[in-house]
Order: sequence, then C-alpha cells, then structure tokens
Amino acid sequence: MLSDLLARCALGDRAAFARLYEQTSPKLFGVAVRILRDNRAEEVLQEAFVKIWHRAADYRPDKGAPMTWMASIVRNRALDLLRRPNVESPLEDEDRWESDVPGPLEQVMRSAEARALMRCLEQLESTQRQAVTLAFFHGLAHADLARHLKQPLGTIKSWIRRSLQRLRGCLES
Amino acid sequence: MFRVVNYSNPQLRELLAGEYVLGTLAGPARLRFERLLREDTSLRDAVAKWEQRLAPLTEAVPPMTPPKRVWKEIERRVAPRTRESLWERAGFWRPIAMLASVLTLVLAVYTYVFMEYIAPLQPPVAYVAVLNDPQAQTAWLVSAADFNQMTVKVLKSPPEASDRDYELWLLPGGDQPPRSLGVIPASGSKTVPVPAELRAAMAAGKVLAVTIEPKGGSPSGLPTGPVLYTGVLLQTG
Repeated sequence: MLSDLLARCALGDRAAFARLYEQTSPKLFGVAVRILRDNRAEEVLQEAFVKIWHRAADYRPDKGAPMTWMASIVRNRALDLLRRPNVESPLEDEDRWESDVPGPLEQVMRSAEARALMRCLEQLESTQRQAVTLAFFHGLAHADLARHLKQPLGTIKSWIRRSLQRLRGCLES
Repeated sequence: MFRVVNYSNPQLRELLAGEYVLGTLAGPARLRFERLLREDTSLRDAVAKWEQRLAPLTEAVPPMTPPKRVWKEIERRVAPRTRESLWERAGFWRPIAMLASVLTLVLAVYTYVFMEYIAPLQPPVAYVAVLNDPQAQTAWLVSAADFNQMTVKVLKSPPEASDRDYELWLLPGGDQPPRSLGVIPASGSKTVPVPAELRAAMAAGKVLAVTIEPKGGSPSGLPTGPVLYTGVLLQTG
C-alpha cells in the first residue's frame, strides 16, 4: 500500500522509498512530461521525490489518497517551471496540444471516482471541457488558453469558473 | 486580472483554489495565492478538496518509465552524509535539530521532568526519551530502568483520539524497518514490555517515534499513519 510506504519513508526507511519510487514514478513522470514536454520533466520528478522523502511525515491520509498528494507535488513543481519567466514559452508547440490530450478519456479512466468525474465533464460544453483538460494536462494558464482557443481572456476566465462550479456541483450531487 | 481580489469572499476563495489546482493561475496571481496558502489552513483544505476532485484525471495520463539516471540522482540527493545518518533523515531532522538548538531549554525541561516524574519512579531510571511534536513541544516521556520494559507517560494528549490508537516505534537504524513497542493510551501512563527480540536493538541514541494508527494498532506491523512525535533515547546515568 502506498500510504504504508509513505509512512515508512517518514520514519527514514530507504528501502520503502525505493519501492515507492518504483511503483509511482512512471505515472508521475507521465504527469510531468505532459506539462513540460522536455527533459525538464526529469528535473521535476527528481525534485518532487526529494520533497516527498523529506515531507513524507506531512502526508495526511484523511486529506486524500497518497497518489493525489504526490501528483500534486509533481504538478505544482512542473507548473512552477513552466511559468518561470526566463524559459522560452512553450506556446510554439500549440498545434501539438489538441491531438495530445490523452486519448478517449472514458477508456482509460476506470475507477468509480474517475467515472463520476467523467460523467460530470461530459455535462460541460465541449469547448469548456477542452479548456479544463488543456489546463489540467498541459498546464495552460488563462492567457495561454485564450490564445490557443482564440477567445477573449474574460471569456476564458468565466468558462473556467463556470466549469469548476458545475464540476463541483455535479460531483457533490 | 486579480488586482482587487477579495480573499475573504468564501465563494471566490473556493474558485481560486479550483483554478490553482487546475493550473490556470499564472504569474503574480499564482504567487499571491501560494503565499496565502502558507498561512491559511482553510484555503489549504479547499485546495486539498479540489485536488481530490480532479485527481482521477491523472488516471488518463499514460505512464512513462523515467530514465535510470533520475533515480540515481534522487538517491544521491537523499543519501545520508555521515554514518550517523539517522540524525539527518527526513521527518526527524526538524525536531532533532530544534532539540539540539534549544539544548539548554531541553535540559531545563529534563531536570523538571526528572524531578517531577522520574525521580519518584522505582526502580531507578537508566534511559529516558523525551518525545516532541514538530513544534518541539514535549508530548510523551519514555523511561526505562533496563530494556525489559519501558514506561510511557503522556504529558500532552494527542488530538482526535476517538477512532485511532497511538503506537510507539523503535527505529533500529540502518535499513531495518521500524519495530512496534505497542499501542499507548492517549492519556495517563503505561508500562509496556519490550519484546525479547528487540532488546538487543535498544540503545542510547536510537530514535523512538509515535504514529497514528487504526484502533488496535497497525494491522501490518509497520507504521501506516503520520508521525506525531519523535525523540532520541538518552542514557541518564
């Protein structure tokens, strides 16, 4: 169990840390690569796991699954790097995004939670769903979405807010 | 933009948390939100809820095996620098560093605690561990005349005790997994026998830790919950 491995990491168990890496790094690397699309993803994975090792004692099982906690660390680090101002903007890759949203979502999302989220995503209008998935998978900020989807910034912001509200309402119903 | 964001509006806080998790906040808005997160627990809860809501999306991300060099570098970066590596290990360095930096205070506490709780104990105490929470506040006191049994005194009751138990662990060090010294009540004191096979591993300098576990203690025999308190076993005489 991942929570068990995390608890053992908190107690300084290096063997448990190695097993945790073995079991979770492919998924987490996938998450980082989707956002950064270059070898900075390796740097992100490295830093995230060093942080996971040092912060393992902070993990709270009642605040979410271990994978959720670890994926958030990876995502936040990846977004930090993506948003670093001195790095050239990945906007040139714009055309690759569309085809690169992970393929039919319903085929790869099997858990009950995933199916529920999928059902709720399907209730959004397709452009709004696209904005949400582009942001989540590729880290597109409001301004990036506006450029990519050729919409005014204000429209994108209200799409995102409305989508979040509807997702939350749908997931809680 | 977010120039006049009113962070006290609960609906707006909730939405900003969602935008932060989704990844659409950038630049100053993201930095400002992160600064706020550090001191605002209810905002952190809102973020955690959004992370839970959106987490299933990561199921859709195809796994990719990272190159071997990534793990090599991680291993190098978390490697202990000296043989007394336990002192530097994650989760322990903070309380232990604090323990060291406030040594005089700890000695004062220790003297007080010794006079107050240990001196009256029979037989005489040879080992003691002061277990602190991450704020370096003394929570538990472990004392022993020898390593056949130890007495645990709860000085500060841990929170939320209804559906959980608190389990005491010995960290033998090296690559040895933590060993359970038993479940301890949330208040009062308890004398626990040290399992025969653990006595050889007990020594001054070893680390003790307390974790939150399901009722009855960890089902797997290894810690499963978060670490509450840690402390080093010291020889008194």
